This record gives sequence, C-alpha cells and structure tokens, in this order.
Amino acid sequence: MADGDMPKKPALARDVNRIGDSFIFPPRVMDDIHIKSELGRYRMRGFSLFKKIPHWDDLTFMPGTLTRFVIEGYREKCDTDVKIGPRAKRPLELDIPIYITGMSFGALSYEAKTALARGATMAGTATCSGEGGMIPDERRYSSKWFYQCIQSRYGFNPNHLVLADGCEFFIGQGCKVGLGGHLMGQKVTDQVAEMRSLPAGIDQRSPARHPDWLGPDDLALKIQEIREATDWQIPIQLKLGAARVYDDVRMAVKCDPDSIYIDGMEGGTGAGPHLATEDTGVPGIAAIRQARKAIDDLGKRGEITLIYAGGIRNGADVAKAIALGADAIAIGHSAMMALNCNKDIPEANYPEEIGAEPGYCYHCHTGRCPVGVATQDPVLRSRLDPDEAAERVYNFLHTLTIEAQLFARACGKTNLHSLEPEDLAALTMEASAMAGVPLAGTNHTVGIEDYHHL
Amino acid sequence: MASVTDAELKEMTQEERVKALGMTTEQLTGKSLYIEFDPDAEERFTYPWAPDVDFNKRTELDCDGLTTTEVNAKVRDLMNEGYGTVVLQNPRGMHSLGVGILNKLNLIIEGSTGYFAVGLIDGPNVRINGRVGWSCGENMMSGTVMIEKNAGSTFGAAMRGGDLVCRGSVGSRTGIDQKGGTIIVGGDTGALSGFMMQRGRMVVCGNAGKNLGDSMYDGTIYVGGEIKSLGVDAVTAELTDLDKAWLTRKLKQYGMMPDKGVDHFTKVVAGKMLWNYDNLEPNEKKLIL
Amino acid sequence: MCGIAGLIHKGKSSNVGGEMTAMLQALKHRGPDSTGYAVYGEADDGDYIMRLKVAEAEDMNRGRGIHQVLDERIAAVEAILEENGAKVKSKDRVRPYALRYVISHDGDTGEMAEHIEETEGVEILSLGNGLELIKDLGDAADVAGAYGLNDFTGTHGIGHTRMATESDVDIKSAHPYWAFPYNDVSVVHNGQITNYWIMRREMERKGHRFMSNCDSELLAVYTAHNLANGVSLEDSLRRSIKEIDGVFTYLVCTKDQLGMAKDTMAAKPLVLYESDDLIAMASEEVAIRAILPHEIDTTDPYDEEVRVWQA
Repeated sequence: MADGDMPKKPALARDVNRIGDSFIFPPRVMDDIHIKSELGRYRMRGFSLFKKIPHWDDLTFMPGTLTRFVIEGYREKCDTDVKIGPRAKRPLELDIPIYITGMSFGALSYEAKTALARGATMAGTATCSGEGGMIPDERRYSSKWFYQCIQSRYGFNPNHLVLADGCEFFIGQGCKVGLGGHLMGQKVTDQVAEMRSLPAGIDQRSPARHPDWLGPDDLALKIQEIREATDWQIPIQLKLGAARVYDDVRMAVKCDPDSIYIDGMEGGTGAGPHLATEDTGVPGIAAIRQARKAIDDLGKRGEITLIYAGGIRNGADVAKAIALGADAIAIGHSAMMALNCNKDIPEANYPEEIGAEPGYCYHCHTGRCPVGVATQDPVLRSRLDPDEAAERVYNFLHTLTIEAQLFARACGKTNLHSLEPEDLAALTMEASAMAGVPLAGTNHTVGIEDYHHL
Repeated sequence: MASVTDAELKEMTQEERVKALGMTTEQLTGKSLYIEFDPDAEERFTYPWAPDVDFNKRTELDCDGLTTTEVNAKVRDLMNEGYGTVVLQNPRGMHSLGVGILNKLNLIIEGSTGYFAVGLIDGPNVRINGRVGWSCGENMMSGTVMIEKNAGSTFGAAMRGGDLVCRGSVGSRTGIDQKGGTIIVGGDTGALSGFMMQRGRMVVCGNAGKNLGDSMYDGTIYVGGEIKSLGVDAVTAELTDLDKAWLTRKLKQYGMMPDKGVDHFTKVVAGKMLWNYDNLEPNEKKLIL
Repeated sequence: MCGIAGLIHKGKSSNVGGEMTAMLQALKHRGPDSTGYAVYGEADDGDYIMRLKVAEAEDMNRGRGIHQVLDERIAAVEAILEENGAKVKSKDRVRPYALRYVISHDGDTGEMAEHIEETEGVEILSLGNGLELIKDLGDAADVAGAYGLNDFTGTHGIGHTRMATESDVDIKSAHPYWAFPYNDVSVVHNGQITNYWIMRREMERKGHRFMSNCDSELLAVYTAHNLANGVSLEDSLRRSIKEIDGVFTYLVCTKDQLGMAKDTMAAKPLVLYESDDLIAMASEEVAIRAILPHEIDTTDPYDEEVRVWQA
C-alpha cells in the first residue's frame, strides 16, 4: 500500500440489521407445520430418533494402567459366550453376546431376512422372526432362532412355535413405546398380506396390546400357556420398551420369564410416526441400570437374562451396555447397515429414487429402499446379493465382538461379562446421573452419593 | 410342504429356491408359506411328531391333585400310546388345559376350565362340558371346540381356523384379532367383540355389546339379537341368500338353529375406510374418526 | 395388577375367613407380594373394632431400638383413645406392629381416627362395627395363619392378592383399603387408574387423607366421599365408571352390602357365581372352585356393569 490507498473491505456475509433467529421455530419446524397442516395427520418415517440425547458417547472406559493387570489384547482368552434363559431345559447358548433382533418379513425383504439369518449362524448367534410369522428359509438358515409372539399375532402358528429355540413376547419397542407396529400399504404385498391374513395393500397398524391377555397378572398365565405348548423346553423372553423401567421390569420378573429384553429409545423402526420416535421412552444408559437393579433386587440375577437393544453401533457401545448390566445385546438397525442400508451402491440412485442422499435416507416406510433391504419390490430386492450380504453381517458381528473384547481385556477381564459399571466414567453430568457412574475425574455421581451399594 | 420337499430345496440354487417358494414377485398367489400348514390339506397330521391315534381307544384321566403340566404331559403320553379319545375329569378351573395339541384327538373335558383352555391347537375335536375362562381357543388353527356353558372374555382371540362354539354367553372382546375360522355364540357377547377382526366369521345368536367390530379389517359378523353400537369403521350389510344358507348349515350342524330361522340376523362387515388411513385426504378423515 | 375375590352369604353367617383364605390362596399366582382381607363379623352396634399398624413389616429389621419405638407409639395411641372417651374392651397384639382393639365409644369416631393417625408411623387399617381389615406381606396361608383368620365367622368379605405396579411392596400399599374415616367400608381393586393424580388432588382439596401412592386407595377415598355425601353405594359405583379413567374392576363392602363395578373397557377379569344363599366372585374361576368344587354355573359381568348384593 505504498500509495496510501486503504484496501477495500469485503461486505459482511450476514445481514447486520437482523435481530436474531428463532430457536423454537427454525425453518425446519416451520416446514413441518406447513406440511402437517396440508396433510392432516402425523408424519410417518423409518429410522430411529433424530434429536440428541445422552448416550454411549458420553461414557468412557477406565482401563488398567498400573493398578490393574491388563489382558493381552489380541491373544489371551476373553470369553464371550452367553446363555439366554439358563433355567430353561434348552437354554439358548450364543457364542457371542450379540444377536440379530426381530425385524419382520414385510418390513424387510426375503433376501435381507435370510442374509441376516445366515450371517448370524456363521457368527454362532441367534436371529428372531419379528412380526408377521415365520418364513421357512429363515428358520432353515438360523441355527438359533427366536419366534416372536407379537400383539397382532400376524402369522402366529403353533406349528412354528414348536420349531423355535426361544419365544419372545413383544410387549413394546423403544422407538415408539406404547404403540403398535406400522407397515404402510406400499409394503403389504399379496404375499405379506397372505401371511398376515390381511387384505393386500392396506396400511397395517398393529394393535398395541396383546389380544388374549390384558395385564401382567394374565401375562403370568400366558407365559405358562406357551411353556405348556412348548413342553417347558425353550426360554421365554419379554421384550419391553424402556419407559418406567424399574417398575416394568419388576413386574416382568414376577411373571417369571427366562429373559427380559429392554429396548432403549435409540431403537429404530421400519415405520412410525416421527414424533413417537422422538418423544417416547428413555435412553439405554438409564434403562439398563434400572432394569439390572430390578432383576437383582428380586434376587433373580443369573436366573433371568437381561438383553439390551437400541442404538448399538460399535464394540464400545456393546461393552458399555454389558458393563452397565446387560447380559447380551441385540442389534437391528446397525445389522441392516451391514446389509447396505444408506450405502451408495452403484445400482442405486438415491436422489432420484428416494429424494435423499445416501447417509440421509430414513424412508424405510415407503417400501422404496434403494438397496433392496426394506422393500418388497422385486427390482429393488435384486440389488441385494444375499451371499455377500450374509458375509458382511458375519463380519460386522465378529468385529463388534472383538471390539468389545478389546475394552474388556484393557480393563483386565478374561470374560466380557466381568465388565462392571465401575469400569466406566461419565463425560457429562446428564450421562453421570442417568447411568449412575461418576463424572470423569471425580468421585461424584450426579444425584447419587454411592451407587455401589444401592 | 405340498409342492417342494426339503431335499429338493437343498439341491436348488438360491434363485430357484426363491422361485419355488414363491417369493420372487408381488403378483404371487401368496399361498406358498401357507400350504405347509393348510388345515384342509390331506397331510394335515403328517408332522413327524404327530402320533397316529385311534378314536375308538378311549380313556379317562382324573385331574384332581395334578398340576396343569402333569395333565398336559399325560395327554401327550396317551396320544403317543395311541389313545384317540381322552376324557378329563375334575378340571376345577385349571388354566392352560389341553394347549398346544397339534394332532387329531377327541378331547372331552368334564367340567370348567380357567384361562387359555385349548389354546394353540391344530386338529383336535374338543368338548367342554362346563364353562371356560378367558382366551379359550386362543390362536387355534383347526379342529372344533364345543363349550356347553358360558365363556370368558377374549374368546377365540387371534384364532386362525376351525370352529369354536359356545352354547352360552361369552364375555367381552370375543374374536379379537380373529384371522380365520368360525366363532359361534349361542347367547350374548360383550363389548368390543370382533375388534380388529381380519378374516373369518363370527355368529352371535343373542345380543352384542357396544363397539361391535371396531376397526375390523375384514371378515363377517352375524348378530341375531340387538347390537348396542357399532365400532369405528364397522357397517351393516345386506344379508344375502348365501349368508342365510351358510348360517343355516352351520347352526344346524351344532344344533343351535333359532326357532325363528336366520332371516333376522344382522350382518356386519368392515367399512374399509381405515384401510388406507395414512393416505386419506384430510376432509375424508374427519368423516370417519 | 392383582387377584381379587369376594363373597356374601345371604341371611346367615359362615366361616368367611376360611373361605376367603381358600379363594385367595388359589389366586396366589396373580399377586405374590401381599395378601389382604376385609371380613365382616357379626356387628354389635355399641362396640367398635379397630385394626391398626404402628410400623411397616420391614421396619422390624431396623435394629433393637424399634421395639421401644413401637411401645411408645402404642402408648400414644392408647392415650388418644382415652382422651376421646373410648373404653378399650380388649387388646390383641397380633404381630409386633399389628394390633386389634375392641372399644366402646359414643362420640365422633372420625375425629378420633384423625387424632390417632397424627402419631408417627401409625395407620388405622379399619374401624367399624363389623369390619376387620387384615393385610400383610406373604400369601393367604401365611397371613391367615398369623392373624388367626381361618375360623373367622361372618356374613361377607373381600380379599386381594397383590402384584405391585408403580407403588412399593409394603403393607400401606397393600389392599384392601378402608374408606377412612367412614366406618365399615372397604375396597379391593384390580387394575390401574390413569387419572389418579388429578382425582387425588381433588380429593385432597376436599380434605381427605392418603396414606400411600397406591391408586386403589383412591377408590376407597372416593367411595367414602360419596357415601358421606349421601350417595348410595350403587350410585357411587355407577358414578365412578364415568369419573375415573383407566381399567379397573373393584369390589366394595359396607356393613351389610357387597358391590362390584367394572369399567368401560372390561379389561380386568371377574367371574361371578350367584345362588339364592351365596354370591361369590373372583378374578379367576379357580378361586370360586376352591370353595365350591361341585358343578356350578358362572358368568362374566360385562363392561360398565354395576351390582350390589345385600347380606
């Protein structure tokens, strides 16, 4: 600037006269109101919740350093097997503490269901039928298989029940606690409709209550009935959405099942009202701790297995859930991602076919899944190669397990199930209060003086 | 498996297997998964675990002092020994009696039972000379069940096939989630009967409580007496000659034909307005809910 | 979430205690947490029977000092009785924390009851001419044995086996509930009330007291409130179906009546047996069969059904 001219200032990229933006009514909320006032109903979508809640990332492990003897990470023994329902005559013995949760044939394609079954069998773990009855091939491919007894009883068949290795009573799901399942008409093809004894093409909204028992007192009798029908052989599992967890699990224990499954609010769905996924249930880190306490308080530790599902993405999440008290983990949505959910595969053109970029697709409810997982359309289904998909499911289950082992070994455990809440610290006040573990760097657990002896 | 055997399936490639099982297109008849357990098919009793029983071999079993599990296990043993007619004495309100029988059998229960009597059955003919508690014939697939006295609530819940008959009155929520078969009630039924009914037929000779057929998908309800109120999306329809012929045949079969015939029956079917609720125009929605 | 049972003999007394025990024991699987009875003996109009507890069962584990605390509480109760002009005719300490008094009194028992409950830890379980309300943790055989109920003679009674839902496992949350301070009225209930807090606050504003967070207590208070305002038992039952939300089946006893009500959803079971001299009802038929093994005809009451029987 030798000649003394001042450089020209670029204009500000913002409107300085603007007072502010609404936090309560950002553009997305306004769009939502505009759309709903045209539509006249709640908006449906798939996927799990969109808002931020305290979750697994807010916890961290406290491995051994000098105070603890750590286990060699890649070689030394660290057991992972788990028995679901040890009291049953034929408990479900899994090699790894992670299995594939129930997702219906109807929500998922035939190829997706069988690929999950084959992947799980390779990994030495179980799958679950989900709503809408058994597809024979899934049973053939699964070495360990839960049969779901769901509120709607679509396709429920006593002949299939006696083929099962476990029977799961679906009582609620974490994603939409207190609501029944949804399957939009686009996915109710002739075949799906026939299995469920419904007219094809209708919007199927399953009941939220079981037809033949209306309270936990009746449930105790219903469990007895299923045990009679299966000759007291297989474990009976109750799947509950996480809400009033301590009271619910306490009642569930009194109904005397072999296993209790808690589904946190992070859980996903194939279709549900958007608001239900956002605003029902409690997070997994709070639910597991309460469920564990309820089972222990009634003296049933080791007799009734606790299974957790909801928002499990990697081995660290698995290990944290086990540390908080779960005996085994079920995965749904991340297993679908192993199948290809939201992956940019060459055959698919996301923006044109579904109107969303890969990684932002939550359109399972439309039945137009670009990767052939959550659809019944033959063209889309052909995009999923079941053989390769099965391999990916196996790889993912295996990876989850070795990742979880990594944390267990680092904390000095030769068994994955030896992880304790005391191996964790919380990174936020919220997570500390919910999970009942101390805030990192302190001896202080928010809201509680001493959780060890509760 | 009617059309393909397991051995054949093993030989096939994945693609062929998918095709053989009828899972390739949406234009299928959709029966492929059903055939295996079609109650009308001849091979209905050919499951490997189904023992061959002789209806003429008859025995009695006194339930007094036995637990439900002991009674059910004993019935299974008797079937394995070839007994085709089993009479249970003194049930005294026991729960879960005779559940999970997947075989032909004449089962006679001399007295009243509790919850879940003969639930989850496929095949047996049952006569209960007493009253049944809640959820009798729950999820039954085939066979006939006759109840001589009254029945509790959720009678025939999620039933899929066969005939479930009660000569007396039943409680509320009869035939909830009914998916097939026939329910016949000689007396009255309570509220919310036929709730979310999907298929099959229900006949009530007496009166029906409020919200009859609430949000039913499909199926038919016939009521001989008064209907307190219809539920959401349930409508009355004209009783055709075919309906009358069917009613006459069924009611005569069980000796429950009313003196005044069947012309006075009201037929209730689904209004089908809720079938695609999530695709309805807003103003249409206001009309139905 | 429970099992309930009730029976009433018309025009005669019978071994109601033994019969209720048999019925409740048959319903044990519906509620393993606690068992309770409200049975009605032959009323002597001059005398009142008062059942009370001075501590929770679990308090007994709190060290040796608890016995002295209990003795102090009992002394306080007796002092209040004397202050109110009540004469203790007999006193029976069934368990360290559970007492039965027979008193004669001619004043306002309601006011006296309020005074007694001002003592810390003391809850009157029942007060009346005929009513005896007994509840404790454990099954029917345990409770009947401990409280000597097996040969209790009376005209009618109700009972309850409890599986705790959202309130605690303790005596104060166990059924039946006495309609404090309304003499001789008791309630058992199976179900849940979903506008409980709204109704409870309304009742509290009208001056009623709640001892527990159990929703069934609301039905007792609600019934007492109606009866105190001159509403008949039948009308009170009918009114409750409109005003109380949730699913419920409940039984109410007065000195000489037994009533039942079922909500609009009819989601909670009840089996009813009626004959000329005995009416019995229970959540499951198996309970009725425990006292009537011969062949009988039973029915399910429908939704919104209200019945009242006279002893």
